[in-house]
Amino acid sequence: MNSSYVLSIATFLYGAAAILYWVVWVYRRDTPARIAFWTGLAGVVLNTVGILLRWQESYDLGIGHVPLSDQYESLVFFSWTTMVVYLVIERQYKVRALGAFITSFATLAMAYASFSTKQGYQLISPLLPALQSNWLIAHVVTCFLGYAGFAMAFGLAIIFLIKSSDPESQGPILSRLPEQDILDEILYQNVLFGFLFLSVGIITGAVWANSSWGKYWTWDPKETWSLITWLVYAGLIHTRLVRGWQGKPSSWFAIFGFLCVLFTWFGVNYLSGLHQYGS
Amino acid sequence: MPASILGFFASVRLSIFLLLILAATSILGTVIPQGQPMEVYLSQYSPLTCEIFSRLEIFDMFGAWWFLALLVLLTVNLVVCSAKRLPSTWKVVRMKNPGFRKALFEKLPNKQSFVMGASTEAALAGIEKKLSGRFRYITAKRTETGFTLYAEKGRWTRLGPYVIHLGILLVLAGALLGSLYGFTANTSIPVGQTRDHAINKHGKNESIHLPFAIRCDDFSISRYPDDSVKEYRSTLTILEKGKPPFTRDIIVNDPLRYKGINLFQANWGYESKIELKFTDAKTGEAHLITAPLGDRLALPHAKGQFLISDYSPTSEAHGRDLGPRVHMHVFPLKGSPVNVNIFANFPEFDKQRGGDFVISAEGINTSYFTGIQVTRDPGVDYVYAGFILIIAGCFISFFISHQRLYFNGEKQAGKTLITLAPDATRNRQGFVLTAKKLAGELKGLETKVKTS
Repeated sequence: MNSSYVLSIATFLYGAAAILYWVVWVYRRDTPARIAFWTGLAGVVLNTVGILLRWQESYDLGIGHVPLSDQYESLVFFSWTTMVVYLVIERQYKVRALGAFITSFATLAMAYASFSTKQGYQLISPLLPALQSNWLIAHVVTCFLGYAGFAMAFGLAIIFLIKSSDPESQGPILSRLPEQDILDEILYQNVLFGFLFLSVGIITGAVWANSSWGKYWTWDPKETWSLITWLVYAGLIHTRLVRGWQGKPSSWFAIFGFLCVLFTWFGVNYLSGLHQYGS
Repeated sequence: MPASILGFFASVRLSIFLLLILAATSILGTVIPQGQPMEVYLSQYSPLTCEIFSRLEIFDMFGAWWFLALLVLLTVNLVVCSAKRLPSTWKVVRMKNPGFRKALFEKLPNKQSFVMGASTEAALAGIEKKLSGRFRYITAKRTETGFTLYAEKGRWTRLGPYVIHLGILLVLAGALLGSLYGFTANTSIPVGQTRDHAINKHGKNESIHLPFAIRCDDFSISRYPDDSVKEYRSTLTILEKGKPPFTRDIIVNDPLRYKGINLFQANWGYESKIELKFTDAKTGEAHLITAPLGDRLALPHAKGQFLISDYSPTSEAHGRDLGPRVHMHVFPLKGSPVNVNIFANFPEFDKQRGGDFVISAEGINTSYFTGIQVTRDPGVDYVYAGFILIIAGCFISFFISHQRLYFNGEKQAGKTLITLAPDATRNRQGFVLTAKKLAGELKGLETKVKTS
C-alpha cells in the first residue's frame, strides 16, 4: 500500500464520479446525483490519504518534505483543492451544474500527473536548498486554492455563456442549467475566493523571496504572470461597479483570467527565469 | 483640481483600463527577456528593432518611465476614487438608527412568506428571541396591522475595499522608498578573506561601501545520498570598528540581518591551484611554482612561459586509472607551444619529453569562495504593512458582509402572516438560503408559542 497506488484508486473514483455526474445531467435523476457526490467525496478522502502517504514516504527516504515540490505533486494537490472547493459549493448552494466539469477536470489532472512520468508516479526527490522553507507550504497551498476558485469560475462562465445564448429555452440541455443570476453570483463568489487566496499566495511568495534572496519582487516571469492574473481578476471585480457591465463581461474576464492562470502555472516554464521548479 | 480632471480620475472605467494595460505591458515584459546584455538581443532581433526597443526602454521596461507613469496614474486614480466615495460610505457605516423602510422592503427580491400560528405579540417575541444571538442590531415597531422588524450586522464591512486600497498604496510607497534608497549588490569572499564593499551589478557596476567588514571563515556544501545538494553554508564574522566581532552561519533561506543590511547565501565557487615542480634537466635544480588554471606564468630562469589548461582527478588509459592528470601548455622562447600532460602519480613521466625542465605535479589546492548577496531595503516594512492590510481587507470585503433582514408581520385571524426579505452586500444566494432556513425554523415555532 503506497501513495501511488492509493492515488490511482482516487483517480478512478473521480472518473466514476464524473461519469455519474454526466448521467445526472443527461437523464436528470436524483439517485445518481447523490451517488456521484459520495463517490467524489470518497475520491477526495483517498486523494488526501495519498498525499499524506507520500509525505510520510519522503521521510522514510531520509529526504522528508511536504509533497508540494514538483509538477506531479502540484497536479495531485490541484485535483484535491478543486474537488474540495466544488463539493463545498455543491453542498452550500445545491447547484450541480459544475459537477461533471470539475470531476472530469480532476480525473484528467490526476491521470496526466501519472502518465507524464515513466513509472506512473514521480520518484520523490530531495528538496533543493532554495525550497527548504516553511513558506513553501503557505505559498503553494494558497496559490492552488486560488487556482481552484478560478477554475470553478471558469466552468461557471462557460455555462453562463451557453445559457445566455438562449435563456428561455426549454431544450434538453439549456433548460437544465440554473438561472443566469445564480450562475453569475456563484461565479463572482468563486472569483472573490480565488482572488483572496491568489493575493495571499503572491504575498507569501514575496515574503519568502525576501527571506531567501533579499528581494520581495524581481519581475521574473512567474512572479509577473501571477501579477498579470491578479490584475485581470481585479479588473473583473471592478466591472461589477460599472452600470451595465454585470453578467457577460464577468464571464469573459473569468475565462481570460483562467487562461492567465494556466499560463502562470505551465506556460512560464517555457520562458526563462528563477522559477524553474515546475518541470 | 478642475472638475473634469477630477472626474476623469474618479472613474472606475479608468481603473479597469489601467489594470488591463498594466497586465498587457507586463505580458510583453515576460515574453521579451529583460535586462540582458545587448548581444543577446542583437542575436534575436534586427538591429532596427533593437534600437527602437532600447529607446523605448522595452529591455528594462519595469523601470521605464512610461511604466512608472502608468503606476502613478493608477495611484492617483486609486486615491481620487477612494477620497470621493469614502465620505458617503463612512456616513452609511456610522448611521445611527437604521430601520425598516417600506419602499426598500417592497423592492427586495427573494421574499419568504409563511404563517406563524401565534398572535402578532407572540410571533414578534419569537422572532426577536431567534435572532438575538445572530444579529447585533434588532429594532421592531408596532403597526396598525401588526409589526415590522429590522435586523442587521456587519455594517462596518463596507469599509473593506478602502482597507485593501490603503494596503496597495502602502505597498507602492514602500516599493518607491526601496528603489530610491535601497540597493542590491554582490560580493565574493574567498574562505579566510575579508570584504567591506559589494558591487551593484544592475546598471552601473558601482561599488557600495559597507559600514562593516565581512570575513568568510568557512564554506561547506552538504549533500543528499543521491549526491544532489542539500545545503550551502557559510560561516561569516562581522567586523565593525569599536564593536566586538560576532560570528554567524548563513544558509539559503536564512540570511544574516544587521544594521538594515542583509547578507544572503547566493552562490559559491572554487579555485584550484596546482603546485608544480620544475626540475632543470641539466642542473637538477628544482623550482616550485603554484599556479591557478588559466593563468600564463613565467618558467624558471625566464626560459619561457607555461599555462595550466585543465586538471582532472582521474585519467584513463588502456582500462587503467592513471590518477590525477594535469594538462598544460609550455611556451618556449624559441619555437611553437608544446602540449604537455603530467600524471601526479608518475613524477618521472615528463623526462621522456626532453624539455628544459622535467615537470611534475606535487599537490593540488582547492579553495572555495562564497557568493553573498548584500541588500538593503528601507521600504520593506511599509510593503509588509501593506500586505497585511490587503489580506485583511480582502477577508473583510469578500467573506463577511453587511447582512440585513426585513420582517413584516400582519394579523391574520389569530395567526400572523410573516413576510421576510433578506439583503446582503455579498454572497446573496447564500444569505437567501439562510433566510429560507430561518423561515422554516420560525414556522416550526408555532407549536411552542402559546397564544396569549
